[in-house]
Amino acid sequence: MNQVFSRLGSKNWLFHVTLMCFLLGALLAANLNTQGSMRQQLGLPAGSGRVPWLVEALKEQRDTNEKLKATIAELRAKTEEYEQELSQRSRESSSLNRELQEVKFLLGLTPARGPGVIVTLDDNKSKRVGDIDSDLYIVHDFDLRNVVNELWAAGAEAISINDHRIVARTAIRCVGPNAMINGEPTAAPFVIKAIGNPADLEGALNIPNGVVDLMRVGIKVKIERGQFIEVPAFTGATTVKYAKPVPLKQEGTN
Amino acid sequence: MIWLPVAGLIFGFALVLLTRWTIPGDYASYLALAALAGLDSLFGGIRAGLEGKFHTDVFVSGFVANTLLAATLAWLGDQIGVDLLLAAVVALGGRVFLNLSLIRRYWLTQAAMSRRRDVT
Repeated sequence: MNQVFSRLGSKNWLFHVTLMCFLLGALLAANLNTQGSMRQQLGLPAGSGRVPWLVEALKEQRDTNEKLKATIAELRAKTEEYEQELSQRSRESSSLNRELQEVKFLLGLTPARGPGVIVTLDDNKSKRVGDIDSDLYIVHDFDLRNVVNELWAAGAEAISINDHRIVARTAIRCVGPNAMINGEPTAAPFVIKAIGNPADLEGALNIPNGVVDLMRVGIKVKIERGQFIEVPAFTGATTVKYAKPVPLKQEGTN
Repeated sequence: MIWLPVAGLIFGFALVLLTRWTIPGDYASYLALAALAGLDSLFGGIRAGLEGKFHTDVFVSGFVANTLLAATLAWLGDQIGVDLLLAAVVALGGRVFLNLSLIRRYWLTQAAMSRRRDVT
C-alpha cells in the first residue's frame, strides 16, 4: 500500500491532510458536544437524532421567559419599595398601603410563612415498567388537583407545588411525563406545601377513602407537619385582557 | 506514514470531546456544515494527492470557500423559508462519495499494477 502513497512524496500533502484530519475531528466532536448539551437543556433522551428546529425555537422561548421572569421579580420588588416610601408620607397613604400589601398577600404575590403540612407525592419506581397497570404507579395531574382541592377545603391559606405558588388562575396539567403548573414544567417528586392548621389539613387528607387513601394504592405519599413552612410568591404574569371590574354604584343614584 | 492523519483525527476528536467545548445552539447547524465541508475537503485532498495534483492553496481555499458558501446558503434559506441547507448537504455529500470512489479506484489499480510487476 505504501507504493500507492509513495506517489505523493511531498511532505506538504501529509502535513495538510493531517491538519485537516485534526480539524475534522475537532469539528465532529464539537458537533457532538453541542447536540448533546442542547438535548440536555431540553430534557430529551440521548441519541434521539437531530434536534428539529421547532424544539430549538421552544428552547429560545424558554430562555426568553426566564429572563422576563427575572425582570418581573425585580420590578415587583421596586414597586413594593415605592409603595413603602409613599406610605410614609401621610397617615392615609400608610393605611392604604397596608391594605394594598394585605391584598397582595392574599392574592399570592408575596411569599408566606406559617404552620402547615408538607405532602410529598412520588412515582412508585419499584414497580416494573411495562406492567399493564403502570399508569397506577405514576403521579398524575388529577392527583395533584385532588390534594390541592382537599387542602383548600380544609382551610389552607397558601399552597405551593415544587415551589410554584398556587393562585386563583393556576392550572395544573399533564404534559407527557411532566406536569405543567403556572405554565412551567415540573416533575416528580412533587412537594406540596400548604399553610394552615396542621391538624385540620392532615386530618382532611387522611379521611378513610379520601384523597390519600385512593392514591396510596399506586403512588408513594408522605405527609409531615411543620411549624415554619415557607411558600414562595407567585412569579407569573397578572395581565387581564377581557375581565373588567364592575364599577360600584354611585351614592345617590338608583 | 498513513497513521499520522488518522492520529490527527483521533487527537482532534478526543481533545474537543474531553474539553466539552460547545458553541451557542443558534450556530449548531453552521458547525455541522463546516464538518461536512471539512470531510469533503479531506477526501478531495487525498484524491488530489494520489493523482499527484495536490496544491496547498487549492486545498485550504477549498475548505474555507465551501464552508462559507454552505453557511451562506443555510442563512439565506432561513430567511426565505426554503431549505437551502439541503443543497449544500447534497452537493458536499455527493462529492465525498465521488472522491471516495476515485481514491478506491486509484488504490486498487495501483495495488493490481504492483502485484503484476512483482509476479512477472
